[in-house]
Amino acid sequence: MDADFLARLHESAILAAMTPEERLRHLKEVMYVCGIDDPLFCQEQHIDPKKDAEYFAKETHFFWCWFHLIDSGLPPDTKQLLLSGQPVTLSFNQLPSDVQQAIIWDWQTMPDGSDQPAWVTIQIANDHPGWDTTWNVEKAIWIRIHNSTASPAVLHATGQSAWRWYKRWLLPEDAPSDPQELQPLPNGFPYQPQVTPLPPNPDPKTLAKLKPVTNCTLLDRMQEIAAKLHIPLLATLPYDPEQIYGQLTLNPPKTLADYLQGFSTYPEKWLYHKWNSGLLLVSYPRWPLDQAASLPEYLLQLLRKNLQQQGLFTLSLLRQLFAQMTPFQQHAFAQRFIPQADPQGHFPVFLFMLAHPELESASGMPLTPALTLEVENLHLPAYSAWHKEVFVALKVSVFDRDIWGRLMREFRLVGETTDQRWVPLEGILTGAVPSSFWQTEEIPQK
Amino acid sequence: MKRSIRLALLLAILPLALSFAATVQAITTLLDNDKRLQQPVSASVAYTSLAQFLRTFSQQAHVPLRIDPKEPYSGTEICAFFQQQPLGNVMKALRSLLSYQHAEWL
Repeated sequence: MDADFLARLHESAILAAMTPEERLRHLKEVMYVCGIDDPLFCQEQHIDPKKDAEYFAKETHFFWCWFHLIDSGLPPDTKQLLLSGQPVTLSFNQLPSDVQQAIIWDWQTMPDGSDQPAWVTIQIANDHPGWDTTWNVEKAIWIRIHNSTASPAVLHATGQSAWRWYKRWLLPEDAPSDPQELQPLPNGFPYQPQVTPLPPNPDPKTLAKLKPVTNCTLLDRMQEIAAKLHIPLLATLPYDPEQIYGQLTLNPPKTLADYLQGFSTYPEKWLYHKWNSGLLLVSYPRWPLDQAASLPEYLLQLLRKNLQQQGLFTLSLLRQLFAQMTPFQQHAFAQRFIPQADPQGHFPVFLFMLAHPELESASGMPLTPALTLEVENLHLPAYSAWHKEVFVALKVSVFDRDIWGRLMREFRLVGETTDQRWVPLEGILTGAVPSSFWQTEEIPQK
Repeated sequence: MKRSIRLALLLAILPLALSFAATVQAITTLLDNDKRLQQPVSASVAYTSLAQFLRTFSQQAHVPLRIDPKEPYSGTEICAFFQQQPLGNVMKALRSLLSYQHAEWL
């Protein structure tokens, strides 16, 4: 399970909350932004725009109904199994009607798809579950459709390719490149972090200073371009770029064009660039409604002020804010504010969420850094708000330990998850949990 | 018959289209000639809101630039690193950064 996948799961939950009319409108917007209605694109690809649009609409529906099934149509145990990467086989007749229709639509396009499908096996994986070769595709739901006679058909449901976004982003007055990109890069650019091994028994007081810097954030990289190459730069960047773009496994670039091209090696996080009025503009593929998900500045200021004063958002504030937000803004809120560290290095984590088994099992237990990273990157607040489910307040404590000469960062959850009740957050930060913590509050209706 | 209707429609729309193009051209010329937009501005900011971004330039160039803080786009986060760029160029680049074809930020 990773943040990208969860984000898409979240998007499917957004779709699930829409009326059919809203969904259709959204679908049209997606098609528009992805360039499906673009005559030039269709001409280049030798496709019939109408047929392609129809296919795309069906494919998107297919994608949505599978995510919806996994999101809310399966028993918790089955869902846990799927999220842990295990295959699950379901009878065709047990599936929701929209999923059945989507399967039949795909099944009929298969060479051997004349009979009715009997059962399906679904699995979440990065690659084709039965093959050794790496496709290098994004994480997807893999679906094997079986019947009694034909060999199974294998499908997968993923998001859209990223490159079409760039095409839409390039305005007529923009330049896709600039002669400055072809100038040879100066020595020492880009900065390559040197990894220095730690001494066997480092002094705990100076341990923090000895931590090797192994990566640069994307923001660092952009700043470096502006400072070292004297190129004016304007960008919109993903908020938590360090986790996404941490290590740039690039061959030494000879030009800025090479260097910028290197950022396109992240399929889902492709950075694209263009030039306008002498400024280098950098952006990244985002969900079509990302702009609509922007949080107004007054809301951002209110949230930051609350964080600075109390370290946490009060439940009443969150309720007040969430009542004012659209689902897309709630999603943006989750992306922007979930990972926030206090000065002591503790990470309060806020999750409005469904009762997710993977977190319940982690409660009170040491977490691996990888799992904690997943916890920090969960994009579920709005998702759970719709389902009127549990509010969970967690605090992750961080311990640095020297294990066999290597610095290991250990995470522990402090606080408790609760089941089927809303809890105040104030006591979690200080550790002094008030008695009201255990008092059930009425779950607000959507 | 249909062809003649199309032609009539085209002839009816043409003056409007030409008038619109002339208006856009006039605005562009006006902006290019506005000395206030030629003032140099600088920025070194990470993940700053669009509203704050505009406020910064407004203070530097003494040109009123603002966006309603309750407008959803006001919180759009911008990263900017440049020195002494004409305000007009920065505004054009900002428009381009936040626009898609046929969905331009005006």
